[in-house]
Formats: sequence, structure tokens, C-alpha cells
Amino acid sequence: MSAAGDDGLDEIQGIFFEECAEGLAVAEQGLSAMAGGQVSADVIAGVFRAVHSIKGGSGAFGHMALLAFSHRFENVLDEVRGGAIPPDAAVTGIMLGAFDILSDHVAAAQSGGTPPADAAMLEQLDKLLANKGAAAEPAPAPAEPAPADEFGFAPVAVDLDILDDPFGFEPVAISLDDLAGEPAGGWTVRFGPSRDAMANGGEPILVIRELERMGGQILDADLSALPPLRDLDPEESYCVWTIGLPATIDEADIRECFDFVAPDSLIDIRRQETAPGAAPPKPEPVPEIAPLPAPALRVVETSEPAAPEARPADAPQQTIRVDLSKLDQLLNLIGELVIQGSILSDRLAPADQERVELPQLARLTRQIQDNVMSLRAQPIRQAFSRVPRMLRDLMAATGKQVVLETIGETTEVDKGVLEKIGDPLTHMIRNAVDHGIESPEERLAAGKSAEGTIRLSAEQKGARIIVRVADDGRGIDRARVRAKAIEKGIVSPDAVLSDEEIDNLICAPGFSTAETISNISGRGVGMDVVRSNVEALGGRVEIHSVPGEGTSFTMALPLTLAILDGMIVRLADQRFVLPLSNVVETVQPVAGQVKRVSPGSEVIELRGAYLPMRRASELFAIAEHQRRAPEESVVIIVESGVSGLVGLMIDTIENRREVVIKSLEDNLYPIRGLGGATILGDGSIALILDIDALIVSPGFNKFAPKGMAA
Amino acid sequence: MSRIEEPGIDERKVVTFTLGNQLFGIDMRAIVEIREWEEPTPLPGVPPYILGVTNLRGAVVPVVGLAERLGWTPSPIHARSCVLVAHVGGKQAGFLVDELADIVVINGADIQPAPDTGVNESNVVSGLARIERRQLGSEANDAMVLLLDLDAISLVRQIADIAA
Amino acid sequence: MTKLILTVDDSASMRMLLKASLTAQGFRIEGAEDGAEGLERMHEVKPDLLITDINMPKMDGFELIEAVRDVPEFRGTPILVLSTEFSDDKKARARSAGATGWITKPFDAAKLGAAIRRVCP
Repeated sequence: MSAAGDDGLDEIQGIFFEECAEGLAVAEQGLSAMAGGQVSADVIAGVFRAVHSIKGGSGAFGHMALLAFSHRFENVLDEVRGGAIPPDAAVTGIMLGAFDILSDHVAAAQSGGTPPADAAMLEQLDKLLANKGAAAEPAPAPAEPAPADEFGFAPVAVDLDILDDPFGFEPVAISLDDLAGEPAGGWTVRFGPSRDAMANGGEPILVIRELERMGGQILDADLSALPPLRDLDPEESYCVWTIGLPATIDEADIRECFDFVAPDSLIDIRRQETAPGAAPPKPEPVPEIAPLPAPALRVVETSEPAAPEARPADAPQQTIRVDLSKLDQLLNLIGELVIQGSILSDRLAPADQERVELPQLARLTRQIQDNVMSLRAQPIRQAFSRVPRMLRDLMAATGKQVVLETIGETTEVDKGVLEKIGDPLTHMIRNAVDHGIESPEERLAAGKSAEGTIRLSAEQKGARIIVRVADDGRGIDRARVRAKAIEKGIVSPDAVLSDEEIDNLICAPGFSTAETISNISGRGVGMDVVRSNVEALGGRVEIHSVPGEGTSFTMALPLTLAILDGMIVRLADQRFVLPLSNVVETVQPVAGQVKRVSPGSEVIELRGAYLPMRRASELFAIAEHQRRAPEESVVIIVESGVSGLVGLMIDTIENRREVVIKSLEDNLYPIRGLGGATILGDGSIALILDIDALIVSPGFNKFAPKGMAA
Repeated sequence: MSRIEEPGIDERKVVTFTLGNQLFGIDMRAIVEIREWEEPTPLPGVPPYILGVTNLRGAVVPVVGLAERLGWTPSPIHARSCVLVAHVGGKQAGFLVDELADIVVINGADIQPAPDTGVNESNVVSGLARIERRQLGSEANDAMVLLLDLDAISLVRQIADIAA
Repeated sequence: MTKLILTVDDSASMRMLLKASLTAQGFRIEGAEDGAEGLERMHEVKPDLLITDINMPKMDGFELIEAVRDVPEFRGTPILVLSTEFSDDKKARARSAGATGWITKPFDAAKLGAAIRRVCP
């Protein structure tokens, strides 16, 4: 089945799985819409096409189990599309189930794992097909040896058989009753292309050449049908050739040569002599001039325009597929343009700037930048679309009942951000079902409806995307959370904590309220991972909970990962960028405000509390003589997902601006403590600090083996 | 050098430069550009031969002290110091060299396999060739060029050192 | 003379797969991702052979074939349909639209090559 052979197949396969993911998202969305009563030809056609594409590629890449399942699923969808199977609630339910298994198949194909058990689902799909058989003609159904067991996947065989098969209608071919199959004599092939065999790009001579290559010889050319010259149409075909072929050739190979011959042509293939005693051949020379196919064709043709199939669901808008790296490059170039703009504005006096209309240029540049960023933006729907499936699984596992409401699915997010919020979102949903939503009995006892609600919403607020998962469950049990945090040593028993602080303990590293790790939340991953993932993106997580009424988790994410809102700070002679999302406040220490508590650690006193503080000059091993005293420095209070509030002492703050992030691994490799670099207006490079990585490095000594400015 | 020559033409252009007293050469095809020395932005946590990063037309490119990378004493910075920006294993990097010498054409047949050159990694020098060296104010004389295979000094290979 | 083939398929992986397997067999390949783009590319590259999928957004394979056949210049250009579908209806439709032949996906590279040579010397 390997089609491409070797090189690049993995890469192409990777693209195939991306397409599968897209297709699954489309299918799920469509099926969910159908389940919600929105049944339209467009929706059905969209689901059909998605499954159809998955099937197409799966065969090409040799994922036979996926091929077999998607094939059967597609057959059902085809019937739904054609109206033979009504898309009622029961059918939609089965299709949603089939979708889940299809997703599992895709995952298995991608990971090389074991395909899911799909026998029961296949049976259900077959039942649907069989039932509609009463209503419609059983056309494709018999093509399939029906109930296949798990490994006897009928569809595989079908697809392989039809490989390269000619236009469906048995093209007038007369099959020898070649029961004996003895290669007795040679083959005699009579070939009379139909009149219009040369229409549609057909070229009968190629068939004869191919037969000749197989060892064939033209024995005779019957020109009796040739009209007088004045009536002769050079684009029509009038000859009947008789060709002899060696006995050793397979009939199938000969037949294959006629794959693309016009359907109403004369094709007569027979043994010159059959072995005596073999079954008598059926020697009708069949010069049928396509009496059957032609009318059938016409019927199809005239009836088609009305058929819904003829108008495949139009994409809502025209789209083109662009290599993401091209967009990245474009964004980079615009970054350059922005930087050049700031160089100009640095160098020109305000009056000169006006004179050369620099502000207009800056405005245009900004517009282009926004536009390009919007090119990378995709609806958050893609991330949301995974949720319904997950909820179905969760409901089945917990026995809880949950209704999902989604709001703002069309909110657009940068593709890079989108790719990274899937996991946090998954955890938040799991957390909501696991810990938020009560069991139906508990809910009824509390005077709520048996079904819980999870509201998943997204909206853009300024330069941030706000994604919220809100449930109407029991709310955070603060007494329990507090007890647990004390037990785990996260807070001291006598700590005075606000409700908000207690709620936030859920995201503390190592905290997990589940008494037993449920099979759902699984893997023991807690909300701390959500927080650190989100913060790694330059975002924040907020928790709001009302006992008995519910809990909401809010992620505030940057619009893009390519541009960072940063604070430019100076240390010795070098400039650094601090992500503004980490910055809480800045402090200008007075004498005595910074205290050394041990040789390796210092604290800064802030409104009566002591926060750990690090000197960037020590982190970066700045030469002694260039280090400043605290009173000549600025301490930026940064918030880190891993260690809470920490002071970072730098020399001065220069300004705040958006910077274009350049990755260090493009030409080098990632460096711990740095989130990348950016190019400033004067063309110099400023390193972007990765606060989390900087702060967790114990003692930081490992971080700076090399003198910087020395 | 590790590259395959175009059939029929076994000549290659080589950029020659000095590190200390030794003449080195890098295949012209690997060179992106040659620029004057400019203090790069230092990076924390990198081996000493990575001098920092610089802005190459909007890309952040590392600058490598070639002498240190080869295990020699670091090049002193002076007015003629320059940086050869080259393709190295799909990435770009700048290499600090003492002084640019010339661009010469070397016939592939004249390249001899590298003997032990005292360079710390034997495969870094892919071969050596004798060339006529033009020098200001003096007559042309012969010189030996050590041809460097940049891919062999790929910086990626050094990640293990850094992690250690 | 290297034959130039235009492949029209909305799946990028399928286009790449076709390109990889056919380039290896000595064909030159151009691609388009739907019927509309395919028609445009026909005029641009004037291929020796068109291979098209059926189920595509915007202009589907049938419409593309009809549109191509409407152009006098392309009346004789062989057109192969490469589709996962294999119903007789569909094949008949493709034939009446003007297709030269039909190949069912998944394709085998060698067989596809042979099929191409069958319509495109």
C-alpha cells in the first residue's frame, strides 16, 4: 500500500493527521449541531466530507483499521446525506458514538497503537444501512460482504478489489468462463473502440501499444466500418483490431489494459483453444454498442442537477491553505518594519517625524501587523470542539449529568496559543466534572436540577483572550481545601487566608483535592499544571467560587505568542525584557528595606510582609564593579506560578513596549531562563526573561557560569 | 570539504582567514556574509566559545569564537577582526576570525586529506591545500590552508556539554 | 519529454503523496486544492494529464471536469478521477462529464503510474 515509498512520507503522514484533526473537529461540530436539532444539508454534507477525507487518506497511508471503520461510517453518512436514513435523534446518537470510535481510530493510527474495539459500532452502522435498504435501492450495500468480524474487515477487501477498476458498468467485456484456468492456447483479443472512444481524452491506440508491450501482435484490423472519406470524422473510431497474446499472460492483466476504454467499446478476450473437457466457453461475440449504459447515463445526468449531492456544502467563505512558516516569516518581517519605524522615530526630532509623516507610516505598519496576526488567528472552536466528547466520556465514567453551553466559539486566537490551551482546557473541564458538579441525587437534594451545567466561554478583552469554564456545582469546599493544604505543608496551620487565597491553593504545586485519584482526572495532574501552562503562555488563571452555586476558572491569555507586552529593564549595560504579565508592581527600595537572611538569600519588606528577592546582577554574574546597591536599584515584584511573589532587583526600568519575540533555538538552542530575544529600535538585542525558569533555578548559580559584561 | 562538487568542475571558491598564524579556509558556498566585529549581546549559561548573539537582518544569530571552539587561545579583538556568517547544519552562526585573507579558487584534486593538525576534533579539518598567498608589499608565496568543515563544528553537538 | 500532471485534491496530504509517488516515477506534478483553483491552474500550466478528486469544496470534481471539457484546448486532455468513491452512478457521472478514467483510492503507486501511462503516452 505504500504509495510514496520512503522520503517525506512521515511528513506527509503528519499533514494527513493534521487534516484528520481538522476533519474530526468539523465532524464533531456538525454532529453536535445535528444532535441539537440543527439538521441541514450543508451540515450533513460537511460531516460526510470530513469522514470521507479521513477515509481517503487512511487507505493511502495504510491505516487499514481506520480505513475500514471510516468507510462504513461514510456509507451511513452517505445515506443520511441522500435522505435514505433520517437524521433523527437515534441515528444522530449512533453517529456520535461512531464519531467517538473514529477519533479513537485516528488516535490509534497516529500513535501506532491498537485500534479500538469497533465491532459493536459496526454492527449498529450496518443495521442502519440495512434498515434503509427497505426504502432505497440496495446499491452499495451488496458491494460489502456484510458483517465482518474485527479482523475480517470487509471494506478493506472491497477497496482493494476495486483498485483501478474501470468505469463501473462491466464494460461490455465478455468474460471467458475460464474455470479450468489452464493456459492452453494463447489469447485472442478483439478490440473495437466505440465511435466516441477518442472523446474525453481517450486514446485507443495506447491500449494496443500496451498489449503489444505485453507481447501482443495485431493479427487483423477490421476496417469494414470505415466510412467514405468525406464522412470520416477523424475524431471517431471505426476499426476493430484482433490481437494475439501469449498464453502466459494473466487475463486480469489484459483486462486492466482496458480500464479506461470507453464503456460501449467491443472488448472480447478469449483463449484461442481451451483444453478439451474444460467447461464450454461462452462464445457470444458481444458487440453491444452500449445499449444499457448510455440511457442509464442520461438518466443520471438529467436527474442529477436537483440532487443535493451535486452541490457539496460550500465552504462558508473562500479559504486558501498557507504554510504557517510563511505567515511566521511575514510576521517577522513586519516585526522588522516596526523596529525600523522605531529607529526612525528615535533618530528624528518630533517636528521632522511629522514632516516625513512618520506617524502615518507607524499607523499603517500597525494595521498590517494586526492583519497578519489575524491571519494566524483561528476560531477557538477548534479547542472547544474536543470538549463534548470528553464530557460524554466523563458522564459515562462518573454517572453525573452535565449540559454543556458554549459561548464565543468564533473568538479568534493565535494558532500558537490555540495549540497550547487544549491541555489546560481539558484539565479545567475534568476538574469541573470531578470536583464541581455533584451527582444527580446530591443535586436534587440541594434543590438543583439533576443535570449540572458547564458553561464554556471565550471572549476577547483588549489584548487578551478570556476563556472561562464555569460550573453550577457545589463550589470549592474551603474548609477541606485549607485542611488539605495544611496537611500537605503548603500553608502553615495558623495562616490567615482570605477566601480567594484558599481558592487559589487549588493551583498550588502538589495540591490535589481528590481523595482518590479518579480515573478521570487521571495521571495525577492537578490544577497546578494548568496554572503553569497558562503562565508559560504569558497568561493568568483566576478562580472564583461561591459555595453551593459553582466555580469558575478563568484563563486570560495573550492574543499572540509572537508579540509580547514587555517591560524593558536595564542591568549593567545590557537591556532585558520582562514579560509584563509577570509584573505585579515595582518598588524603589529605601535603605534597610532589603535584608539578607542567609548568605544565599535576601528578602524585601513590602507593607509589612517579606518577599524573597533575587538580584539580577547575581543571576547574570555581572562584574562586581558594575553591581548596584539596592538603594540605587529598582525591585520588580514578579509573580511566578511556581513560587508566588518574588522580587527581582534590576538597575533601572527603561520603558514598556510590545516586542517581537525571536526564538533562540532558530539558530542556537533554548537557553534556560530566557524566553527568547527581541530586537530593539536601535538594532541591538535584548534578551527576554523567562521568570518561572529564572526563579525556580535554585541559587541560580548554575544559570550563569559565564561572566557577562566582564 | 563534505560537499559534493558539481560534476565536471572540481574547483571551489574558498574564503581564507587567519587564526593566530594559521591560515584557514571555509567553502564560499557556506558563507552568508562577512561583517565587521561588533560586540554581541552576551548570553547566560552558554559555553565560553559562544560569545553571544547578534542581529543579522532581523534574525538572532549566535557569534562563536572560532579559535576557542577549536580549542585554541581566544582571538584578540582588533580593528581587522571580522565575523564570517555561515550556514551550519540548517542554522546560521557567525564565527569570529582574526583577519580575513583572501578568496581563492582551489582545485579539488589539490586537496590533501588532513593529517593530525592539533585541532581538538580531527574531523573539523576536512583537508588541506597549498595556495599562492598574495600579501601586500611582498611577493606571492606559498601557504598552506586548513579547510574547515563547518558542519563538523555544528553547535548543536555541544548541547550535551551545556546540559552537563 | 517529462509529462506534466495537474493533481486536484482538497487534502494536502493526498496532493503531497501523489506528488511524491509520481515524481519518483518521472512525472512532473502541479497541484490545486479545489475545482476552482484546478481550472485556473489548467490554464496556467496546461498539463498533459489532469487527476482530480470528486468530493471537494467549492467546485467539485464533476464540475471541474465539465468546465475543463468546455475549453476547446483541453477537449483531448486525459482526465483521471482519483476518488474513494466507487459507485457506478458516480463513475457514470464522471464519464458523462468527460472523464477518461476512474481510479479508486487508496491508490498503489505502481498501478497509478501504469494507469497514467495508459491514458498519457
